[in-house]
Amino acid sequence: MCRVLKRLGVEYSYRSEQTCCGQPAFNSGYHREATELAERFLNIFDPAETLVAPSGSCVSMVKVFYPQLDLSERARKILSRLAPRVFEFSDFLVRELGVTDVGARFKARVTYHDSCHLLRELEVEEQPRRLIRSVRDIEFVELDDMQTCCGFGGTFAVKFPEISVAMATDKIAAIERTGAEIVVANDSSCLMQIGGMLSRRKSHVVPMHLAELLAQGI
Amino acid sequence: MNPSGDKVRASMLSRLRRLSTPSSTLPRFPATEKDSEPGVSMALKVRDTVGDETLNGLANELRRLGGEFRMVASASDLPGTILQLARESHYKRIAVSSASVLDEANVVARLHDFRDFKIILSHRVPLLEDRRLDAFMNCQLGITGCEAVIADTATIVLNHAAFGGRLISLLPECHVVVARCSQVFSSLEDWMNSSGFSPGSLPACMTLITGPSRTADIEKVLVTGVHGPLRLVLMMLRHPA
Amino acid sequence: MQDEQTTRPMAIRFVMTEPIDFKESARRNLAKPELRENLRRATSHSLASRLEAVSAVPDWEDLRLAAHAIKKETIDHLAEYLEQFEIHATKAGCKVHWAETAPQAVECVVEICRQAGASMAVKAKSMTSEELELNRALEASGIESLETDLGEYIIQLAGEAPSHITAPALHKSRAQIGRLFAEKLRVPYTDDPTRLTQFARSALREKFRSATVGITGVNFAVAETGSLVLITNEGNGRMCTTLPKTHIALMGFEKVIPRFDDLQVFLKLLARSATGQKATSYVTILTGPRRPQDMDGPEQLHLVILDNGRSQLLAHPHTREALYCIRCGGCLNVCPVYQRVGGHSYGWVYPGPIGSVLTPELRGIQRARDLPFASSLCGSCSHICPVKIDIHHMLLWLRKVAVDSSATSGWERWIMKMFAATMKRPRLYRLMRRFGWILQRAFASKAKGLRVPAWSLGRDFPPLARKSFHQLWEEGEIR
Repeated sequence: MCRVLKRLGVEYSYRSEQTCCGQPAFNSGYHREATELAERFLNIFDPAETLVAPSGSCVSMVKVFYPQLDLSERARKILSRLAPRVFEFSDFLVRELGVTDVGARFKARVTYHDSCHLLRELEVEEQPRRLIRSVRDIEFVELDDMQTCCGFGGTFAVKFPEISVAMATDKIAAIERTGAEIVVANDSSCLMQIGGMLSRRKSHVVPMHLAELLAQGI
Repeated sequence: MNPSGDKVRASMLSRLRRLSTPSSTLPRFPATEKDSEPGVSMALKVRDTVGDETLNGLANELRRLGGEFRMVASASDLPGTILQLARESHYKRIAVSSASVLDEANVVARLHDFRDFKIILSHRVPLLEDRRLDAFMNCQLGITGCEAVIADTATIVLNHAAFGGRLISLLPECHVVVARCSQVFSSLEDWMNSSGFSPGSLPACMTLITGPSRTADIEKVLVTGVHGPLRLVLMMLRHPA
Repeated sequence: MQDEQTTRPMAIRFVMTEPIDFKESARRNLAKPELRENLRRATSHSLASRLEAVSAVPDWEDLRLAAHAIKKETIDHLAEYLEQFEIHATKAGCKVHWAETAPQAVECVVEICRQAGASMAVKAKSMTSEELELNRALEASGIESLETDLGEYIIQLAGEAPSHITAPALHKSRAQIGRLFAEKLRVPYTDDPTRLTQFARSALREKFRSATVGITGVNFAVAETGSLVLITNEGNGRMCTTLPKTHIALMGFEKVIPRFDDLQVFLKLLARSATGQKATSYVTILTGPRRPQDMDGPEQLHLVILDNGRSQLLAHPHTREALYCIRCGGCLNVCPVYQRVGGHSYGWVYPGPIGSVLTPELRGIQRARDLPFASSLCGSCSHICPVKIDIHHMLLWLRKVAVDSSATSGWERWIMKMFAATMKRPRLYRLMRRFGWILQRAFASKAKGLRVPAWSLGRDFPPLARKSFHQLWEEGEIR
């Protein structure tokens, strides 16, 4: 992500004290713990003008779900200022910077998996595809069940592992049907799930984050 | 009135009122006026003849659903068309409802000419439950008029009070509906918004019929002909419109 | 052909005295290949038909918004609309009854049957009646209650509960049904759906005739006219509401809609969402029992308006909109969890995503603590819902309710506390991460990665990088 931003001449910094936006707690119904982490998050990023993350889940948490938490007055103020300026990476590039070609080059047949948070909560669907298509030498093929959940779902993956694995199995089958060498996704959770499954099945398909793909050949 | 029933009713309604959203605007209750007897077919103004394209669309949609469509050029051709269908399928026991479209074409009289049919006039069947049920259970063909035909879904609107009761279109294995072109509306909204329809004068039972009875409860395989009629035939009378 | 209806076993119903163990049921059902295949076939077929039907409607999104608005208007003024409905229905000769609880509703129905001298009732499909366990109560009162919807007829013969809102026997294959009919109806074995359907038609025809009472549900109740609307395909709904002398209809109080015209929106949405049809074979609009000048029809029409926990839903702003549900089953068909585990895993009458909201609300979170978590929150349900119910966000909310009601394990609560405590201390967090990497170096195989409980059952754990981004940043390797 940094490499791409640098190439596009965007100045960025990184807040070292950051840890977690609190989503795992929130997703499991633990609002109190989530609120504690949200307060911390907002304090840390208070000075930011724009915030970019390579993750649809984290960005959804801040934009869609933080407002539902019982935040302090101060945290609410930070949130209302910051929320419109929080972007998922591909959304930032395409809608905010107006860029679809970052100058990447990568020769491979790739397919793309829509992460549920990115797709449903943030409605980011076109942006990643436009970015992928602009990579030189790339061959892009759509997954036939691109919008079907990979089965991660946070604690769902360990609470109901059999169902989670069944979902991942079908996702891998769909990936293999495309004949792609690489499966691209925009969320590390999905990549962990899909990658974990690919590895267990000794598949030759490699999981790759969109940011990694866009950094190729720069 | 049942006193404990009243208590439950009062309790439920007060809880619902308490839990509803307080609002300054009361819900609007549209005035419904009774302007025609539900037992009489809701009067329809004569409309422009419906186009061929609409009729073709209707026919195709009905066929796609497993129903049948036959165009009848004029009233004088109607009895013959019905006779042909009855003969082809070896129907002997036929029930006919009263309907202007059938009366004008003298369908009953013409059917009577052929002694091998047993004709039941729906409005003449004795009202004793068992006898009536017997009569219709054993019928193979029921012929009715209809209120309206909706082209985009191939739906037939049937006001049972006006067209021979409920059983005639339910029990026989084949249901024939005779309609005029002027009764065709392009969509359900069109019919509901037309002058002929009024929610204030609904009969006890009205059915929107779209094709023969069907089910897909076994492996999602479509099977037509379950408890309702196995066959639905729409005969469209071109003239008089 | 003999039928064994009178000697069939009591239907196996959901036992609601213990908490639902979704995890265990799901695990068992996942391991049944025939069930998996039946589910996969049925749901993908339904989705494909739906897609085709919906694509043909250019203003589908507008319809959804309109339906949502109508339902909101209704639910926000339920008392007024129900009263208006009652006035018009009563004027048309319908007898309206109110029931706060399931036992009250059941008592009401049984009493009406007794007064009608009924020994047998024919039933059209009604999820509400399943909620009340009506068949069991009727049988206990000596009244035979016969399901006439083909799917319900099948599962009644099998002694099972429905597994889907609109297709109760979705979990069975044609061969299973063929064997069932051969055994129970003493007919020759066939797995041809047409022939099987004909067997059911013949078996039921005389029953319709001899039944004194017909019992149905209600899809919509129109306040403006006092009409009941039944949306069916088979014709059994028409039979149940025409042949018997007494018709009893059951509905949850949320089924009312304000105006007759509103049907234009809902008729377009329901069939397409449920079965991919433009319209079902029959939409029956009943306004009172037969009139003096009518030739046929029931002499008495009774409607039972039911609460049974729905006022809980109404009282909770976050889940209130679940009352908008028009019972199309679309969310079930699209849910990746339902598609794999089937309806019986959900432990009660309403399965799938909407069931995971309804059951905790109607029966209490303690009895259904698993259900809000039985989802990856992918949001497909909300996306497909014709009335735009935000189902997956409701599930998320119910998880908070579960935590607040101490319906989650103490172990999990402790882990969450540790998680939050670690994440508030960046140094500790980084230490944990380093520790994880060391573990990986020491114990994990290159092939499988770290062995993590539950995760590693079916997947490998991805390798942790030697240096985290944070480390790289601090060491100046990224600028």
